[in-house]
Amino acid sequence: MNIAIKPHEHEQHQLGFVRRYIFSTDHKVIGKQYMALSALMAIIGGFSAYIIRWQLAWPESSVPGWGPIGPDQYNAIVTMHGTVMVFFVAMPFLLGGFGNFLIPLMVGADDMAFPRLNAMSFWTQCVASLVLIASMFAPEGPAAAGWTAYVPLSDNPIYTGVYLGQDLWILASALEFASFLMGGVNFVTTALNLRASGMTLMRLPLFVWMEITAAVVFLLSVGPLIAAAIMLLLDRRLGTSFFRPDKGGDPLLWEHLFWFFGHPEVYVVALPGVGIMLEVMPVFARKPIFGYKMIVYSTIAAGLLSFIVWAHHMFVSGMDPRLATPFSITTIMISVPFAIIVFAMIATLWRSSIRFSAAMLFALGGLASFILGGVTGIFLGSQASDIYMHGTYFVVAHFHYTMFPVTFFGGFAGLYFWFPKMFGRAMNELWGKVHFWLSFLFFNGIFIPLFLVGIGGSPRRIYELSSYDMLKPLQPLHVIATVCALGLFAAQIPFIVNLFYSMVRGKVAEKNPWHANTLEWTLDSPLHHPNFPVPPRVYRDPYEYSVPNLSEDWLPQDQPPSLVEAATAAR
Amino acid sequence: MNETIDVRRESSLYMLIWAWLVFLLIAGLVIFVLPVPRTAAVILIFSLAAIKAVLVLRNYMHLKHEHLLIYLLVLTPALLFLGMAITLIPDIVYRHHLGLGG
Amino acid sequence: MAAGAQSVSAIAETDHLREIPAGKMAVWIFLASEILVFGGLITGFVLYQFAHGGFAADAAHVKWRFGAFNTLVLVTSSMTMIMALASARADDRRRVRTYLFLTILLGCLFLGVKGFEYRGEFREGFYPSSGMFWSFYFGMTGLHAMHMMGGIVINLMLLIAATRNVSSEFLQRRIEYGGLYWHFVDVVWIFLFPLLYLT
Repeated sequence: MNIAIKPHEHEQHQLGFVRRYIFSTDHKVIGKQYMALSALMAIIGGFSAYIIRWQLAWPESSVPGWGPIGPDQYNAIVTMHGTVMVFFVAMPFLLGGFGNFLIPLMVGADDMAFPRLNAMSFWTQCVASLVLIASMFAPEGPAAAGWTAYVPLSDNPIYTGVYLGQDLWILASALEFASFLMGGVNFVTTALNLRASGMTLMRLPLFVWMEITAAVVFLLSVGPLIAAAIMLLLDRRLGTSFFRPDKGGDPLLWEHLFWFFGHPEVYVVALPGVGIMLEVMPVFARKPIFGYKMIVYSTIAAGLLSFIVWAHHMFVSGMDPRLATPFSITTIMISVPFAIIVFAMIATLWRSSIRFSAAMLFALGGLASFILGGVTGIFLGSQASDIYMHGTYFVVAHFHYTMFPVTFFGGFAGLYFWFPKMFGRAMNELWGKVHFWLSFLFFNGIFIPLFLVGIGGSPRRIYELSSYDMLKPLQPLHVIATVCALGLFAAQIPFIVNLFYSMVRGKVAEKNPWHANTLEWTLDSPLHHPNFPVPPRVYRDPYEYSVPNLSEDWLPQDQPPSLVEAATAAR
Repeated sequence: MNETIDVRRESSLYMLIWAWLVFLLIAGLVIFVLPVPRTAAVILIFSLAAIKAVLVLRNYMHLKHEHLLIYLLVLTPALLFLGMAITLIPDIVYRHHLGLGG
Repeated sequence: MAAGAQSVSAIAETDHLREIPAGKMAVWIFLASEILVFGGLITGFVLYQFAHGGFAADAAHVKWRFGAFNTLVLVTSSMTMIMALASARADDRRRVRTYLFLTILLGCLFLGVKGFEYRGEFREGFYPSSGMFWSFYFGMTGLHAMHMMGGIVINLMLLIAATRNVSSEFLQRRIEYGGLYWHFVDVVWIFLFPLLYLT
């Protein structure tokens, strides 16, 4: 975390070590804490992926560093992988990490609206993570009903054999929801109330728009799942019958309530990463964002639409078939705003002077992969083709091709981009590019074979394919995917070395190494507390790059017009 | 000062609302106890509940005076909840006629 | 940390959104998500009612008189809560403390009656596991009761604040926000009562 910085202390901040670094209410520290926590959880998430991939490629063998895997354990590991990656890596890193660090800076505020609530949200997430880790040591193992916890598999312990582990999973999820409710309240209030003067909504950096939309979508979608989680816990512990078919309950109610949240949730996870890409691209293309307003409206539209597509996860669940067509329509509709955003990104890049820095490479690679992922969603959104593909590896490949590029590549784009601001030093660009190319190559190598495995008819969440004759020809694809997975893990080593080395021995960075326009780049790196010694005034949107007749190809948001005129006159 | 007069007016409004809330509660109970046909009774009782809720929202929670954004903040989840409930009708209400479970 | 007076400048544009105090915005956002939590449970309950042709047999065992009394208690506590705010606005600390105390008292009375009802139901052999109606009855009133307990704790904290030397503005804001939460819990009960007791 905060290593070797020499802050200029303002008088009132003579706080002890604990208050400044551990229970800090400074959004910048909290942001880094979230990132560190999600990095630790990513080890668990990544390791579970390693076990899954090894098991699928070589089912007869014992997984090195773990041991042999049986079907029950496989289910538990798949559950942990999904739960950890979605709730304990992607969300904390992109929302808790980048959101916390950047939102106050980008809107021109000195901190979040509720700094202590902010700290509480982080520590709640910590407790949630600990509870989830603890669940892995429960007597019968952790939850094994998938991250979607369908009932009655999750509802009646006799099916998975897991008692305490599933309850702890419910508790960990509930704590995580509480943490993000607190965080979401903070984000929205800060972005609406604490903007610097001149920072109108339409001058906000798109990253902030994405974070606010994600926060609002989360806030509005999580309620029914909290209700369902309570019902699930009561079913398990108090013998209520909410989801028990033998007592009149309806398992479909769980699915509906879960996916009512679950679908908006995937956009909650995806939007911040898209926001990062939208910040990085104009800077390294030296060109204004194309269609700022369209992007904002599309984001809001996507957020709204996300609430009426959920049943596309349930086409083959036995739900009323008459629901299928309306949901197919809305699902196809939601591809439109995302397509608009993608087109806007491409139009931004068109005829621009692209500089292929590490951050830009990650943003571009993320965009390219996301397009592929999005396109494959069309097949799943249409009920007729989904009947074949639901529950197959096609789905797995689809969501990894949408979530992963946006969270993983988007996240790294953000990390390479904002590292100088966060730590006052530069990361090594060459190794960053190596990190990108290897990751990009191996990522595609994992999931393209999985598309083929899915079309070949292989169901997901099965621990090996050898029992099915029709699936045996697909086995080589799994081997390719696993080899590439091992490569992907290995490809992270240069990054980890680069990260820690640069934190302490990297070249000291100037204030604004990328010549970007948003407010955080007007401040010294690393940052002080309070952020803005002088409250900033904003005069324009953040994407004025390559403005004609100016001496520089960038124009910060807080540069007064008089100075701009002077610069123009000087030419 | 004008403030005290306003506060007194405020307070009488709050008491008046309370009186209405109690009255509506009693009205609902009367409908419940009387031999009113069930459908009509349910509709009436829930309408009364809705009126009570609106009274509390508008007067005690000051929605009457609040910015539009707060209205939206209350309306949106309410609409979402209604939309979700209606969408679930075909599945949850009618499945049981297929003879599944108790 | 609500924005103070905006300095006038040729460039500064004032959004009306910045006039909503941050704390109020935060409480309403939180309430918005809470609407959907109870909404999820209510959806399940109402839809299951239609699916199962009603729960009249089981529902006959809840004591509507207790429920009605509790509704009266809660509605009155909403009134005392808002009167606490009015007193805070009039800077009458004594009245503030009185009304807050009454609100807390009524809240505890509500919980007491609820506990009494539960005890009666357990005695008659009705537990959460006794059937679909009881699952929802105990689930929803239980969740509501937990929210009430949280509300009582908040009001206790407000009462303590009212005994201290805090600024009038600070107290007004805090009581207003605590009141929003309290009234919300009341509104939830306004719907739960007919749902569980009168249908």
